[in-house]
Amino acid sequence: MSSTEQGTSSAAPAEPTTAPESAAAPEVPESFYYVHGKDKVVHKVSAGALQHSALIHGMISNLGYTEEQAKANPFPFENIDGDILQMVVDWCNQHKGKPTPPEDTNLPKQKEKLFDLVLAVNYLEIKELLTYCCKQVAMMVKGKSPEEIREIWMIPTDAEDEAAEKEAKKRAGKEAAGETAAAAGDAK
Amino acid sequence: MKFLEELLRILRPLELKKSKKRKGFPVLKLPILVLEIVVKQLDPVERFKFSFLSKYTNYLCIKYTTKGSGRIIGFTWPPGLTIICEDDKLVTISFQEKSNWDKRCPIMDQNVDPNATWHSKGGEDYVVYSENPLEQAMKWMKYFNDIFQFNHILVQINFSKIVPDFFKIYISWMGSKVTHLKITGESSDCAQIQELLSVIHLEVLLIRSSISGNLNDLQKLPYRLPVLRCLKPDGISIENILNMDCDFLDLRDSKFTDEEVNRIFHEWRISGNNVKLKSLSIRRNYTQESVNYDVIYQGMENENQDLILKKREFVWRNDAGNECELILQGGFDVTRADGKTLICFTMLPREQDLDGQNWHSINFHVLDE
Repeated sequence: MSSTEQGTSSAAPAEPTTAPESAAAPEVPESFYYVHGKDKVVHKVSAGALQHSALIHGMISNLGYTEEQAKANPFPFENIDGDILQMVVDWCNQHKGKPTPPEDTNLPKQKEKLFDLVLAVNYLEIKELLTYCCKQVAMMVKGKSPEEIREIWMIPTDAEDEAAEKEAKKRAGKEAAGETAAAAGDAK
Repeated sequence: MKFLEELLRILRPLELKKSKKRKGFPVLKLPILVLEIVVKQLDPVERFKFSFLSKYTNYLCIKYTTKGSGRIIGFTWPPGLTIICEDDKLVTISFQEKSNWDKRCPIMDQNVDPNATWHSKGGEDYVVYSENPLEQAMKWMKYFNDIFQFNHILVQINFSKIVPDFFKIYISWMGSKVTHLKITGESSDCAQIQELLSVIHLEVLLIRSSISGNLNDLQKLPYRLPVLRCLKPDGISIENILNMDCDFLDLRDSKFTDEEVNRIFHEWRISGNNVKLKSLSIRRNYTQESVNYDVIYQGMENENQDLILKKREFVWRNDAGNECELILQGGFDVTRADGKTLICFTMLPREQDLDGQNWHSINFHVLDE
């Protein structure tokens, strides 16, 4: 804010030496960082946009990279698909320095994409986007019957849960037995 | 070796999982903190449908539902439940004996009509078939209360139709808490009400029938009843009112004359602590033109003249019997010898509600010291 704006309307006129705002506060060049997903495609993102992600923001603060170092060492997110990371980067750029609106209608409608996006957003700790995604997930079952909810959200019945649990125990038992046998073999 | 490493990399479970095409959205595979946010985003109707699906979804709903928000569960007879959510969504569940459905609800192990019909308010209606509809309704009521921790539990009964041991069954499932009890039917007996109030703990008693029996019995309540509302108070006398042990007595369609209403005020002023009531509302169903306010407020007019411009706020009760704030301008203040002040004022239907409403009420409220 310039000094002329700070004065009240009854104050004396601004002194002619007062510099215009742009000259008084020269713009600091924005720093950029680089991220890539599983597809190794590198995305250039401004520090301002990356502030949405608590994880990346924490990494930036701790590393103290220069522009060159950042370019040479893009943050690798091997567990995130390229198109999903692109979506996240786009969202961060769109909402850079802006208050987040109460709703976001640009989230993917395909269930598979949304699932991967939720996982990525949770991993990257982007709180606002995670809330939007969860709202979208909740909206999937709006007005649906219990059986429709079961189908949409792939919820197993108690019988299926019990069967899966038994299966997991059996598998764990077999693995443990295999490990013991291998350990015994090594000892010999 | 390189080939093997590459093969292992491709076959990593994560990769296989990702490449698998999914028909739905595997919500339970989300990280638990994310799942918590999703469950909290569900509105109550969706949340309890979700809770039906399995023991685990039931557990999630109980764990992640914010307790004690403004939801109401009501029990009606024949056995039925009504759930009103914060957003006024209404869900009704009726319980019937005959079983035509073989769809089992995983939580309750009973038959639930899967063809839920949409209620006009946007909620849903369900039918549950069981060998013992009453017991089943109680089971469901307890189940919903465990999830949502309702802060209002409403029970609506008709003494002549309800099974004799209804409240025994109720207490065995729900304990003695009923916040609102609505008694309907032609007539309700004071002794029955008295007996009932000795076993359940109540906040609002709403009697929609004529009261028979000795009304003085109601003076011997085991605890101070917060709200008593009678819609047909024909048997209630001025003496009953003066000795009623509750905070708020609301009489609708009262036949008290202007002189009788005035007597309440005089009794209050001269009889020390005799009047136990904190607030009293006497509503009469005729237009204000036929009311003689000079008679009703006789003796108060010289008490306090400067109240017409003064705005005061105090706690009153709304139509459901719940606390609300009343902003009053005008009225009469009467202060008696022991320093207590009684506000007396008239209430009329709001202008927009005037159509078909011919009532006025004379109200008394003892100011907090």
